[in-house]
Amino acid sequence: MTTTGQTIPRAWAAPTGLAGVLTSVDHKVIGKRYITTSFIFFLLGGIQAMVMRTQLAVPENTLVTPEVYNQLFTMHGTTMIFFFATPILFGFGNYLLPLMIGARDMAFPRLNALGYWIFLFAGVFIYSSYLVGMAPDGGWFNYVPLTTYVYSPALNIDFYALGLLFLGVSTAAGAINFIVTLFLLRAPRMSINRMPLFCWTILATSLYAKKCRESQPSADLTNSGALAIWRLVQREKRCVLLVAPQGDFLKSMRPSPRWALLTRIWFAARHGRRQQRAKHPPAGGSSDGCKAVALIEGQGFHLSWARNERC
Amino acid sequence: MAVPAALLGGCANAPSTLSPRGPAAHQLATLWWVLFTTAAVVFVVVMGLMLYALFRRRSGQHAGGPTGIAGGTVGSRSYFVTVGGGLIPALILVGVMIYTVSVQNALSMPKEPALRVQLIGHQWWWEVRYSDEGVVTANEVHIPAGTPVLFELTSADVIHSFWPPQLQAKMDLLPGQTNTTWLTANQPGVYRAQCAEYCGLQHAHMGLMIVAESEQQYAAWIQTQRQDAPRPADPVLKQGEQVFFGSACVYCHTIRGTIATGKIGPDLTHIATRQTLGAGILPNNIGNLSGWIVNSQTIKPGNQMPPMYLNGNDLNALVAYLQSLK
Repeated sequence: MTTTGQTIPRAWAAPTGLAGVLTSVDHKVIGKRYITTSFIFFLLGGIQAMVMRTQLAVPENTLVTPEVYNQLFTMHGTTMIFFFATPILFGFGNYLLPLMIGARDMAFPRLNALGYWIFLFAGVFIYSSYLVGMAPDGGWFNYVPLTTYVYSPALNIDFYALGLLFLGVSTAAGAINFIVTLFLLRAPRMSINRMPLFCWTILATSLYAKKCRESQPSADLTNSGALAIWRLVQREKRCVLLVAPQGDFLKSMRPSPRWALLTRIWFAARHGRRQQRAKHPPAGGSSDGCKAVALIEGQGFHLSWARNERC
Repeated sequence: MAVPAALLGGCANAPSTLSPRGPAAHQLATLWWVLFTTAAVVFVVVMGLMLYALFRRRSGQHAGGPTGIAGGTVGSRSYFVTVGGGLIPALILVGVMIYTVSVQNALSMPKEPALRVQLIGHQWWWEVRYSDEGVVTANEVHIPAGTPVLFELTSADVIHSFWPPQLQAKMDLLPGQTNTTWLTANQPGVYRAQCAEYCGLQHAHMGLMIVAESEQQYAAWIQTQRQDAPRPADPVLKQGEQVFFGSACVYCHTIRGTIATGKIGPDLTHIATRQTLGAGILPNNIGNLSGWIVNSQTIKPGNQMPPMYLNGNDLNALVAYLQSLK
């Protein structure tokens, strides 16, 4: 007999077994998967970098041919930017965002899972090009006209275009998920200006990434398709490298040794503003958890999920 | 400063931006050292503060309670953070930016150039034209030392980039567009330039030799280059010329004054005056030229010249003829 108290846990419980593993939509599971998979791609990109370095150790080295070297540096760059830096950020975002804003899960859990699986398959697809010796070789930035059909008639650039197309779907899915979650699923009384800093960077990156993906062509591999991919790549560079959420990661965590002065001035300014707006006196609760919350809250970092400790 | 500069100076065949030989490159190198020194000082200061913060002893009153910023109540020591962490970096960055922009400005403005050279980038060689003089050559540029020279850059296929590290910054060669850059070589000498934008399989082997020489030498060189190819007198050279006309050479190469008017490959009218072959990758001598003609694919795989399997007699004659094209 199902009681009310069992309905919700049963609805939210993950299915068990292999099907459960493969169909999980829990944001923490997906977040960890993103991080693990990104890290594996990071290692693959690192191996390619090591081979490149060995080739460059002495002049006119013959470890790899020019064809292979061109594929190496293209794939290394593509992997590091598109298959490591961006997805690992999405992984951390997936894991931390609902916790930081007091949501149960992301706004679209199944879309979240879809985003992860497409990312995985996009990576596998683009690396499968090595099996046929046709890895992308036009540079990770894929400049035209070198990568147009005239100067790159083989399949290499096609692998690049399709792989990035799939990855773009994954990124767009993730970005939409973050944006909706951050706008609609914040805990009560967490106004948008009280969001932790990390959430802000995720929001900014997601809005920018969504804008990037709007012009992505659908499987158009002619000259104009290559050009559009190139434009996407340029915007992606700006998204990932310039928006730089990784730096905000550090700012959010702020360990107690007081180093990194240049970061701290930024935080000092925000701390001052938060003190004025939040009007939270440091909580006087007795448990260590509450003391931790008080310490962190005093530093200006809001932890609404930790507030469940009843401080 | 002299020792690290010497270490970073580079060798003759691997020119370094830190061994400048022209006014533009001097400014760039100075900018580099200014930025490097500033960054080094900031690094030492920040690391010193970090070590101090890590290893200092906390005074008793602060133990065990929540602390504000920098060990005091909020606002009491924010002066140090605001000035040290905000104001001083802002001043440094603004100062560096002003200096950088001024250097960029100076680098991009052509002084009154004495000379104009057009560079047209191909996969993977440089077409060199002196349109004012009616000279066409390849992979080697001669300029008078001490005078500013304007370079007009475009590409016939993909994006390349012209980079003489000891003389100027990089400037792209874009198809369908003409970019301009300028440079002055203070002293006579040979300065190697390199393609600096990935342009395909042999991007690494796309070099250009810039030969700066005295006014008289430059005038003599231009005079030679303007003329048509010398007609061979020697029977061996005549045979070589016939081999040239009878093979596929004429489809791609031009030798002015003869029936060879191919436009696909480099102009060979005065090939014997060049120091290198294959766009700066081989010294120009009989052996290398023979090897190049027979099978350049083994030297620069993927380049657009097919192997030309000639018998030894024909090859010798051909190479002798080409080496006579001074």
